[in-house]
Amino acid sequence: MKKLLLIPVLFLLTACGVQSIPQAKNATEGALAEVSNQYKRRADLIPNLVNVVKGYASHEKATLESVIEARSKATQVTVDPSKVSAEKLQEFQQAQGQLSQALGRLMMITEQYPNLKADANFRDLQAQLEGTENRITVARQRYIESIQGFNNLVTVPPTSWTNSVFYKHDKMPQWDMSPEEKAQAEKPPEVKM
Amino acid sequence: MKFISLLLPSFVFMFALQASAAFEVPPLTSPVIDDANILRPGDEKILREWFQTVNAKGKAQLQILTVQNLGGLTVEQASMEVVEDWQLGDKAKDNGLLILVSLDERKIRIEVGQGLEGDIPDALASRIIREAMTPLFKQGNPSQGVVLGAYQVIRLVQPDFDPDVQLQGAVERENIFSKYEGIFIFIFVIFVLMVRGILSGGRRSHRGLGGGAYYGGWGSGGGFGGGSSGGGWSGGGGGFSGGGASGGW
Repeated sequence: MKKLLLIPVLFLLTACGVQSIPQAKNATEGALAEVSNQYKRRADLIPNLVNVVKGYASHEKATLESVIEARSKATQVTVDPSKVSAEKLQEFQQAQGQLSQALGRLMMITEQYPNLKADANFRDLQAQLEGTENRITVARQRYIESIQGFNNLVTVPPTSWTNSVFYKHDKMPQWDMSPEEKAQAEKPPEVKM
Repeated sequence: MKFISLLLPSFVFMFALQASAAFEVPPLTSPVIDDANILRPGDEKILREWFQTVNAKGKAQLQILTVQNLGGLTVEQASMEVVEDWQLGDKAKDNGLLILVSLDERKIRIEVGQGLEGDIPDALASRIIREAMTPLFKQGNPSQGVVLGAYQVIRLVQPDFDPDVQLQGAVERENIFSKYEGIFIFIFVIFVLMVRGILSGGRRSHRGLGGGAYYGGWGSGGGFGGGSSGGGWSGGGGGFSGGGASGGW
């Protein structure tokens, strides 16, 4: 019976996070699902890419294998958007970061093969990979923004009061660049003459 | 050397501007916003009419934006800012598309709305930039580069697109990207546009004279085409996820 009495009170509270906190939580879940989705898209492109590169640069075995290995590791690590822990998120990021690095090396060696670079198939795959990397960037950025929005709601009054009474959500771990990515971002791009 | 001496002033200009102003998204007033002034009035008018027609059919909301520089952003960042601000395309269909050209950085980006990613996968967007647009930009003809790029985009979102009576021969082709037809249409379009440019240059001196009469075969274009009014052009809440391709010349 007490719960029934709460309903009119709930309507009064709409501006205080009763609605916006769960909405923000859903938004972060959707945003993370999109991030994993785009990473998966990248993983799906890799076998084709590796095959095309193999056709022109078969003796770059080490690089090709490291990509395949990093891909299989990265696809094994998944995060459940509804229960994200900081450790899990970091593990996920690390696996994807390693794949990014391996891919970066692969794309670097392709520069040395003019025939490969002229291959229409390769150029299409390269365009798709670039597009996917860009989608990943966008999806991650949106995920970061949605976490920020959620964390604001659960930590900043008055919505934080609603949270402590009704939902008791904790702050979500923020997405951060993995150590490898940080090193990469700080390193100036290599120019090969 | 010639190349560097050409570039140098633009770099100086870029940095001077970068210090004072970051990249700003202009207000969405028309399907073609040519802030860098690279489009000829005749071409701009054609593009505007094409885009109005495609949009009126509900196929896609296409948009062109040319800017002088990107204010220090990458072309991907800038174009994402623009589409997030403008929200091109229908909210349910997410069928917006932006062709962004930045003059100082010599960059082109085709930003494809989520709903059009099937029609225009990244690989095709990239080909449009590489094969249709950049060659003309390199030849110093950015205006027709943009027109040809836009034409290829429209052909992908609306395969039965009939740009004009003069283009009839070309638009009957099935696949614009098959080996020889692409080249054929490419040459044909350039030829038609050149003839058109000469004609419209002679007969119409300025943009914004209103559509309809001259481009005979165009029933639906009649209501639009006012240079300043833009016909109530605005975004419809379309979503973008970063698909598309970038290139440069």
